[in-house]
Amino acid sequence: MARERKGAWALAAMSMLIVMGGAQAQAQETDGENPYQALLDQRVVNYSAALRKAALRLTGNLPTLSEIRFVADARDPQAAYEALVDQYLNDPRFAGQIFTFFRDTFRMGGSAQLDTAPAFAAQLVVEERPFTELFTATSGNCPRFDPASGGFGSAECENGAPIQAGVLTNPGVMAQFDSNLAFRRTRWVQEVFACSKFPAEFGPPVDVGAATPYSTPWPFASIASTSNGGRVDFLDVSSVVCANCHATMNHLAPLFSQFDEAGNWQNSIVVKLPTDGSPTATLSDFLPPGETTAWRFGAPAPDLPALGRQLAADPDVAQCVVARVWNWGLGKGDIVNSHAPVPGEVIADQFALFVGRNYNLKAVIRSVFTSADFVRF
Amino acid sequence: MNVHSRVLRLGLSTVLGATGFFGCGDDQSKFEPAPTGGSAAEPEIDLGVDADEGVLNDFDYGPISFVDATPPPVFENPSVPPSTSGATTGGVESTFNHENDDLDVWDLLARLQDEGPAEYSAHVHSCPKVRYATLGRILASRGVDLDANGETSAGRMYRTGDQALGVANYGARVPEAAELTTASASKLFDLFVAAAPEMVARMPERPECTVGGVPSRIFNAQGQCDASGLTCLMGVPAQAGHLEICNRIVARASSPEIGRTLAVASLLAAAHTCE
Repeated sequence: MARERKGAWALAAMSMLIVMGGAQAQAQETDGENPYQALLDQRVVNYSAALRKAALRLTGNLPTLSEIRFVADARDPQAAYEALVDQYLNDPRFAGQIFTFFRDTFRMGGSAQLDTAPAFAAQLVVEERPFTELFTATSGNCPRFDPASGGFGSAECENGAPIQAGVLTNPGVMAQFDSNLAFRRTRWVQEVFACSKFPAEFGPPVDVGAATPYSTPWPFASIASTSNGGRVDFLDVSSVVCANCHATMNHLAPLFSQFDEAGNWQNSIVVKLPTDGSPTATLSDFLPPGETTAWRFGAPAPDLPALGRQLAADPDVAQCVVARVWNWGLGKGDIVNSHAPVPGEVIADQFALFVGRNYNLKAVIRSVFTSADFVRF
Repeated sequence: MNVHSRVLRLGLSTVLGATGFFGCGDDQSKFEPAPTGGSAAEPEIDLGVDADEGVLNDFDYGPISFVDATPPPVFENPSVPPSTSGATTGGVESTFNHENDDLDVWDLLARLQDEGPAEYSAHVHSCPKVRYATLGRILASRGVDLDANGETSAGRMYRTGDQALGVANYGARVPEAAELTTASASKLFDLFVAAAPEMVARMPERPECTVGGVPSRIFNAQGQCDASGLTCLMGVPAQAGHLEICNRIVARASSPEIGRTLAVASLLAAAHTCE
């Protein structure tokens, strides 16, 4: 039996590694049921064990002896457990925990400026505001967090951006992820909010004379190269097809290219090229004439507020947020860096709740911590 | 060709090529050749593997083609595959030194073999390490003085052990480690041994471990392990097995004091290796 299970794991592991998603689901489809349901059914409900985990995640400490007994001795342990989860979610310590969660998610923090983006995300959760404000808020998007009280002090991002757009114009983010051609900022947006590394878009494969096909929906020549006015050959195919990633990156990066290394907005592009002398980039280094910035193919974003609206409307972004919260609850590593994907069917209820409750992430957190999976071991 | 074989062709070319095994602008000939890169000119070769037969452990990765490539996924598996470290380093003629901080594909494969696919593992709890700040709160709330300066005090060990315990390094854009390493586990267990005597002595003073004005003690007046004390120590109700192990460790030790320390440290390690 053990051998059979390991064989099944090996098969599934290889499939998982290889396929990246849809194809694997297609391969494993049987009669629509999770082929691992029998194993999952072997778990048993344990509200005491769930309480320990919930307390550690939501308050940063073990439950008290009184709380442990409250659940263990309850006639209805589920109701007792859920009452304590609600209590934890309204505890000032929860604000600190969710603030730390966003520090780790955003990979930034530790100074007044670098804490403003995690603080803004935490504030939206604690105050049960639509989480889409993370990308669309035009004011009050650089708050300060007070760990002692668990409260947030409203503050503006004073970095000169013409119109603020949540964390997309946050000076701390722009400083922390400053790089040549603004590609590190671009990568941050993609990985944190779309939950995958580049390449981000896939289309019918096209043979461009390389070892692997070009496979994005953008026309191959829609980004800069040395043949169309750029100074970096993003259409190079001598080793890999650079355009598979850069087709998306180059349509996105110019939006972040006017923030300097301190995160302040300037009136022209200020990011550098990684070539001799580190010259300042121009738009033609990203895109050929006629091409404009976008979140995705068919999702134009002429400026950062427009990009924020695209992110707020993108269901993949919403699902990414829910998946990150799910992984936090279940104790997984970062969904991208630790390669801990969450199949959509696992979080279908939480995703529906997120959208249905106007992107209230606190409601999603409660749903995760009271879910059937969370209380089973 | 079944769907697994078809997927295998696309997948490996994607894993090893398209997602960054080589760097843009890199001249492949300047570097080590791709381990299994394959090329469009190579004929399509049936790998002869039916994944349904469960023989992938012994699979030899030959040349790969992308003849049956289908568009990869939607979000459900946002698992754009990791590349292998070191292959996208910039050179004299290369324009950009791509970051190579991804997981090793073979490490990932080994992990997936242990943990199972996402369709299973996403449903179950993992074993993350206890966060550094959380660990401090656990220790303090169970009687440890985190400000202590004694050379072997738990407080000092905690304060100076932050790096070993995997704290975040946001300056380097690195979040707190999610998993224990050998070093962090060693430090954690050392810390529990150092903390045990303080917890035995001071846990009864803690409000977190007091119910109705009655403090809980780890050991009763007869030196036997007490269920209330162990419950507060572990954060879950102590079972008969916990009491049995605890009492056995105390009885077998060279002295009662050493036995109590070992018993508490052992239970702490068992309870709090995973958050």
